[in-house]
Amino acid sequence: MASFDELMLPHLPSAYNLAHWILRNQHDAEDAVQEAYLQAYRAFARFSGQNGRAWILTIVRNACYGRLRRQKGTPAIEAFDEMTHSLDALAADESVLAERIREADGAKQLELALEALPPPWREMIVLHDLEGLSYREIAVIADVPIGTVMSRLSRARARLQNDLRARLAPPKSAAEAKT
Amino acid sequence: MNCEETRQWLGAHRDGELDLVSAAEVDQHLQRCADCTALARGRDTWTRALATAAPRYAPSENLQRNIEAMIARESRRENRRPVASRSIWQIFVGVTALAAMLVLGFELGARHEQAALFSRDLISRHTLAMNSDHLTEVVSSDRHTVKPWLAQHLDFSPPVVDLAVDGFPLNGARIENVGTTSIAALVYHRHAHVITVYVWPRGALGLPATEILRGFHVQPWQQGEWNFVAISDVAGGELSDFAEKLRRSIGAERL
Repeated sequence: MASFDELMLPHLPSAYNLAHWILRNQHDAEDAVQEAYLQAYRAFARFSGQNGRAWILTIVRNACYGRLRRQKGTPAIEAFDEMTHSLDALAADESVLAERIREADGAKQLELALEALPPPWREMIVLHDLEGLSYREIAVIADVPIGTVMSRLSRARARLQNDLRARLAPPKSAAEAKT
Repeated sequence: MNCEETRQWLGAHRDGELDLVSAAEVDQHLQRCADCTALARGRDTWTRALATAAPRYAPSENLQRNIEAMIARESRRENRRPVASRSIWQIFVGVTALAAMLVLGFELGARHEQAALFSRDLISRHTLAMNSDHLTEVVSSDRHTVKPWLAQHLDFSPPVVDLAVDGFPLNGARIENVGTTSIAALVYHRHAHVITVYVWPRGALGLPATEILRGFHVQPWQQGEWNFVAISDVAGGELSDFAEKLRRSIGAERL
């Protein structure tokens, strides 16, 4: 099998992007990624050779959530109310919103709206829509059933778009303006 | 398939994640429904826009260099064999073990080496946790607090007992990630010393080697469906005593 460096360093951009989205700042993301790569190196003998990207991202994700747990001292993911596996039906034409986020202010609001999502939802959008992983791969990385990936992603998208629409709507008054 | 059903599956359909039969049904509906087709196109437009507009955070050059340097250091540390720091007895045992490994074949030797590396890894984690002030993520001597906390964060619920009566009070717990496997680390105190007890389900990961290294004792055992490893710098006899009391206590509670 190829060396650790050859197999795992190419995934560093994905690893760092994921860590930054979960931890929301450069310093913590760099620390978490370094910690993850060290753990991965030590565990390399146990790597089966299949799907290195999913393997390293699992370790990175765990390192990030470990960090969040230590920072708050309380569960990083509060009792997350997972409703039954129902999917949010597509209801509105999303191309209007798509146009808005191509503009500068829309892109900024998108970033804020993504950051505002609870981590278990945010990571679904990052892993699927930004990193292009499959439902099956995400199920492995996040350690949940595929049905959960499907419903969380569906819910995350709905929440993201609703939040974004609210942020982009013209403010009714100064008091109601979104931060 | 009607509009309502189609719209529920449309997300997964546009992601290319539906099975062939369901995908075909959605395709058929889209062919005869302009409204749903418009929604499907809207979703595709959104997905493309999102991928472009969302920030992509890129690693600094420093980060890659630091990681490469760290791996190089780690690799050197694994390869270093400081003979001077070992006693004649340890060398004898080492040589005998090596001979045994050669006799039993490479396969067994690789597993043995892995077990030894695992011991060292667990010792590192034990000392790192103590020195970095991240000894516990849940601080409590009450097993009715610690056990559910662990169950919430892991996909298993390990046995947790407090041995304060025997002089080994429970301090709390944390989670350790060994490769892709998460394991529980229960933290006990013995006077001024710390004992870490790593616990995980038997099938998940093999046991490390029994070892004494730099004053740390590694004592692994299996009990019921669980693997346990106790690590501490308390005297060897004390750690065995602790392990025995822990075994009995867990066995008694049938946890």
